Amino acid sequence: MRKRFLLLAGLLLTLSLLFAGCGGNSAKTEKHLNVALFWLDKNLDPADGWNGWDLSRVAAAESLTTIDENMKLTPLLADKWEAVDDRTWRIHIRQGVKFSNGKGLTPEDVKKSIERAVQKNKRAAESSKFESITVDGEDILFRTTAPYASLMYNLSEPLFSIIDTSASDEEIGKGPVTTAPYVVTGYVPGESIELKANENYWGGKPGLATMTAKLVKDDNTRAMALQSGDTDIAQNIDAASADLFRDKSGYQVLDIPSTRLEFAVMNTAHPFLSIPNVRKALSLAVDREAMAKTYHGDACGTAFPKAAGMGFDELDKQSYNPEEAKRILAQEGFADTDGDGILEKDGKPFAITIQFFKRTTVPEMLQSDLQKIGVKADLVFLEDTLENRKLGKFDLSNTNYLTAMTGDSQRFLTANFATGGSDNYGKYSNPRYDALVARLDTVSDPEERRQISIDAQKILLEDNPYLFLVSPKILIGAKDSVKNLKKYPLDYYLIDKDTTVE
Amino acid sequence: MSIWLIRLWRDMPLRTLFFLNVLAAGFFLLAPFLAPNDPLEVHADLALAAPSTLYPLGNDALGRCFLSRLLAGGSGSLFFTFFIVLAVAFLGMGLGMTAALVGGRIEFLFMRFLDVALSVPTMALTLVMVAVFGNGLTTTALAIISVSWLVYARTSHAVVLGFRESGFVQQARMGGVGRGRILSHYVLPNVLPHIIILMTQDFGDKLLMLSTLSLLGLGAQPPTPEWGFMLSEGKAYLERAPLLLIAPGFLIFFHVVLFNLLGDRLQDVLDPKRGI
Repeated sequence: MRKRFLLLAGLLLTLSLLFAGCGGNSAKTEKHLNVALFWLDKNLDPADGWNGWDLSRVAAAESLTTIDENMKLTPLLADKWEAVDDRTWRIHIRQGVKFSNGKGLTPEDVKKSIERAVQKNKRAAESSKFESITVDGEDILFRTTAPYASLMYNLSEPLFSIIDTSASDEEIGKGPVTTAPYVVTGYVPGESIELKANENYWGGKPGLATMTAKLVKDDNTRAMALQSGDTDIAQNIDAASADLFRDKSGYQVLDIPSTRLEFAVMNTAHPFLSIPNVRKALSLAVDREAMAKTYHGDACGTAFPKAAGMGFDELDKQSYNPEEAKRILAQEGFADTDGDGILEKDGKPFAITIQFFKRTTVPEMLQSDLQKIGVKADLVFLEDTLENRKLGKFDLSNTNYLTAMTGDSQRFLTANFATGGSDNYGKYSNPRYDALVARLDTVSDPEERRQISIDAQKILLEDNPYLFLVSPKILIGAKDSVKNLKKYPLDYYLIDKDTTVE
Repeated sequence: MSIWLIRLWRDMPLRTLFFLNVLAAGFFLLAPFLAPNDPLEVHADLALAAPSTLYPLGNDALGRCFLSRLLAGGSGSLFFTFFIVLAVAFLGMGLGMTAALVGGRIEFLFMRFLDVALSVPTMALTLVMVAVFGNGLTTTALAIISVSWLVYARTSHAVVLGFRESGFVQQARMGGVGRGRILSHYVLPNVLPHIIILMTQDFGDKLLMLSTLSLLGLGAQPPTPEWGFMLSEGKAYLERAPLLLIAPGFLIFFHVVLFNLLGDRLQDVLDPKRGI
């Protein structure tokens, strides 16, 4: 009897312990998400460098406007706006928004925050052109030094995240107070961010209780972290790794057409590349479809990938035609006189270099394509190709951009191709093009702006100052349990208030 | 010299290792003629394709024949390693022996220079030299040569010191034999065995060094196949096509081990304390 009693008591004790364990688990069902990021900077001040992008990816910062999954400009902290005249914008600040510290958001806060960004970051000054910012009741008036119709698009960039500026620069660097769904609770510079849900969030309850975002630099390691269960989301994995998770139970892969574009800047000061027909021939020699196959992207012979919504389908696709390329080069006086497989003109061989900074399949494919029409291209790997572009020390320079960075075309079209543009390192110049893109300053109707962008791209397709190549897809690997991940073509968006785990 | 050769030939393990080395290196040096396809020809449709009859080891990320690239890569790696080892031996031996024979202030300055140069880690010095010469297989080989001859110079200098004042050299001098002839007929035969051992042991080291620099993106430049560079290319496809990483890695390992074994055996056999 005593034995039986002991047995029963033991059983009860075991069961109670088991249930206690369950109780412990249920207390732990707070929704937590682990994210492996491909980039994380040394501080979190959105006005410093590109750091605002880090905050934006984990939904820890908000701007006045945002760009949605369809690349449409959407209200965020500004709920409506209008152009008063061609240099003045009246913006209404959303009411009822609070910072995570409980302080209500006022137009004065917005003014201070934006002025701080402009003062601290050259890019902010260039993409806003503010003459003055004044507060008028619930509104803010932005006046620009010249007509600048893309201002509201540019203000969506996380660089212009609205923060509580009463904190010191040091505190902001460790995690600014914002109005976003998540609040930074811990930050190890360049390593990880700990976040929790913002209890005062204006847009409803965020989908998660807490989040840990870690920097995992190597593409393979990030994918392996997802495989081993160390992370729930692996941002920007490569195509080979993505195949490991595709159609596999327990995982999902988001395949997002991006607005990022791989291209090669051509130096129009080069004796051969200064000839528009030669540049045309080079463009015809590139097999973009084949390149896209090895790069997991989409062939893109225009300045804006399809996802940017800038008339991709209405423009010439620059189909692969090496025979036509050879014909054009022959017509321009190039011939292989010494039989070494490389064309010459006036006794000089057509030998150029392609500088590149990222080891993808693109430079080698380009080299191989050019070789086929008799152009010798040596590949030169550099840590940073920008420096040589600035100095004009390059023939072809391979790089990539988010060409429609804030959903608008103006910045890319002007900086890269307008005469004297800040990024026009290839020294391209065409007065007809300059006159056309200058109109983007004043035209604010989205449809008309789009048409101008299309016409501008048509001129670029005639002149070929750049070799536009492929648009890589953004690949995000995640566990199946992660829900409501949206396909943002801009890779500075990843987690938002709806993202949750089950 | 001939006694040594006989001693070498009589040693069975050494003979086997020697033939294995010749076979392995020879195979890859002849690779350009053995490759089934053009190692540089791109086939986008065959990117990372599995092995087939046309492409026995499958295709790499650009759809190039992987077997052909491995073979061509081997000829690149091994040719440059041979070139480096021969060049450093020639340079180091020449300068070391000359310094020892010339003596005096020149020898003193030369040896102090060696002391300083040898105190800097070789890899760090090589990286600096690559930065000076620029990226590429040839320039990397030059960079390695420019820092690696120091050990050879020191060894040959030390060996010559051992018999510089000995009878046969002195007698040759008194007999009016010129410096050049003393160097080639009296000194060189005594230094050479030491240098040959050093070269054989050094081969693996130099192959690794060249591969490391290519892996870092400083040596071979695309599309040139080279084992170290192929390792860095294959890294991205570790999960999907592991052979791209494993094959060049194994081949580097195999050759390094083979040459090290040969070097060790050679040293054992040529050890003067070992009886004939």
